[in-house]
Amino acid sequence: MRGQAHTLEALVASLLLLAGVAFALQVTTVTPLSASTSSQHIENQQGATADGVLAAAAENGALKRAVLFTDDEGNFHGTGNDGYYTSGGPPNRFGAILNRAFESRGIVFNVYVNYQTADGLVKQKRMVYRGVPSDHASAASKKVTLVDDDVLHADPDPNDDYEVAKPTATALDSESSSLYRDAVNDGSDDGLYNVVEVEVVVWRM
Amino acid sequence: MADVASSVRERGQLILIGGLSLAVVFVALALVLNSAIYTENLATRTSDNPADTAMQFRHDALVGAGTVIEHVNRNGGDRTYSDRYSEYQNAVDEWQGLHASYSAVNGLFTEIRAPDGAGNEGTRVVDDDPGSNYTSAAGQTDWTVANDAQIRQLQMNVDKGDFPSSVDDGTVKDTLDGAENSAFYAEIDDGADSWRVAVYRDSNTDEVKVMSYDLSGGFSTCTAEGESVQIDITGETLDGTHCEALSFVDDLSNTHAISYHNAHLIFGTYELTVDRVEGSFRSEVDAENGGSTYFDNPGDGAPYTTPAIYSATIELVYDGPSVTYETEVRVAPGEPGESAVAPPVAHLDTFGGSGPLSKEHDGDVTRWSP
Repeated sequence: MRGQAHTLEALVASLLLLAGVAFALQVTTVTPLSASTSSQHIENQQGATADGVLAAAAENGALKRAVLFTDDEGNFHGTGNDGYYTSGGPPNRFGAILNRAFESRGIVFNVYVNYQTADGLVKQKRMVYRGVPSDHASAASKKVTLVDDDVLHADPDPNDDYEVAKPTATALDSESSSLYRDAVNDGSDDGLYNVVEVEVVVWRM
Repeated sequence: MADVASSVRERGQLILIGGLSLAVVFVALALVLNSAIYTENLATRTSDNPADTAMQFRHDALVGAGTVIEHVNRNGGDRTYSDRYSEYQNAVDEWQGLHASYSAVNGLFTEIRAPDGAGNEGTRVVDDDPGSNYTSAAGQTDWTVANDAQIRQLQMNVDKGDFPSSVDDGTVKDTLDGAENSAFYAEIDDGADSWRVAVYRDSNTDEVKVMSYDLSGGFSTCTAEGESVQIDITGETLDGTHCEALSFVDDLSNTHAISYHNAHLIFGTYELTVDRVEGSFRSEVDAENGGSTYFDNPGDGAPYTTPAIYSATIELVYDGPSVTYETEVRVAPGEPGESAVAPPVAHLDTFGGSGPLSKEHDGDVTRWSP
């Protein structure tokens, strides 16, 4: 009789222990990022770097020149049929800044130029497209103001270490250019052509 | 038998209690571990700093309004200041509509207003003939460009091939010292200090160089590569990159005088904007130079002056989910040093006496006496 009671006691004790261990194990927090190679720190840092890159490019005019770095049909120089760059930044100062900030660290970036059309839609023009971003991508954006007499820009001087794009004589509002065209402004006489948004999306390869 | 029975009885339900307490320890361990993991997760979330986006909006608005002001100043021939200002207001309204669409996507309300009468009239001095040298309308080679005015956006564009001659660094240093006259230089004097900036083509390296001299022995040089060079003196850049020789611009205080020397030794274009009304500005400069300094209309020749917007004040509103930010900012693209505190003189009448009034500064107050 007492033997059975001892056995029962040992059984109950072991059951209790097992249940406690099982409960403790399954209650452990699994955060959304626990299973991925990308941590929140890295995402924050990449987002801040992208912000800094855009601010630096805007400060010395490279961002505006890169936005206007197209030929008369609105294709970026040197992109062939796609109309966007697929192997790094564009061949101008903005591209040099992007490459220096991201390429060497194994971080990939897409650059989009968003602009509004007459019907209020926001259209997206790809400047650099290197694939669909992963789930852990971060983005930064900056607005660029374009006025009627801004000119398109052409390839930089090959001797120029800073790769500053050279201005051409084709103004934005001339007949041959339909870049970032906001048809509402045709005929308006206040000089503003459009306000575009440059968006940089970065993620780890 | 009794002994065995008693020792067993003394143990009680020890195994049960031992198992129970171990289970409680494991659950407590899980609790502590969870709180550590969750704390780290909370701590590393982006703070989504709303003040950051508000500051970015302020910067974008400043740059946008500045671009519009520059466009309005550059175009339209000899329009009056009020024409230019109303076009600027229309453009800002349009900018506001476009920007508000982008902000709405992010759940923000942004507004920018250019109120009536919030601008300061100025004058834009332009030489847009690339084949002309930097002499005045009357052909003087040493002349005053602006006298006692706040200046912004002083830019020059030169082509390497257009320089009549190349000089070496030593000759330029002598020129800046005053011993020779072999290179073009601009002198900027803010009442307390004076600087000279020479632009020349170097005979040794065959590149366009900029050399600055602060009249106490300090020379500093920057070089530009390429055929055509853009020198932004108030922006302290040479071809878009920062130039150490021009960093004295940071030390300029409110109003300054600019004069050109040996202006026949450089060919190209330049422009600057001053905060003086066109009429009084032209008369004062003509009096200083003893002759006609500027043409009146674009197309008459180079250099000419047109009325322009010197600066404007815009009102910004930023309304986000957790931050509301309203402010007034002054837009003056390309302005060096501190903001202007001197009020602009729009009109001056003299009564009795004859001849111009003389002006003296007494701290922040300007006194005029016959």
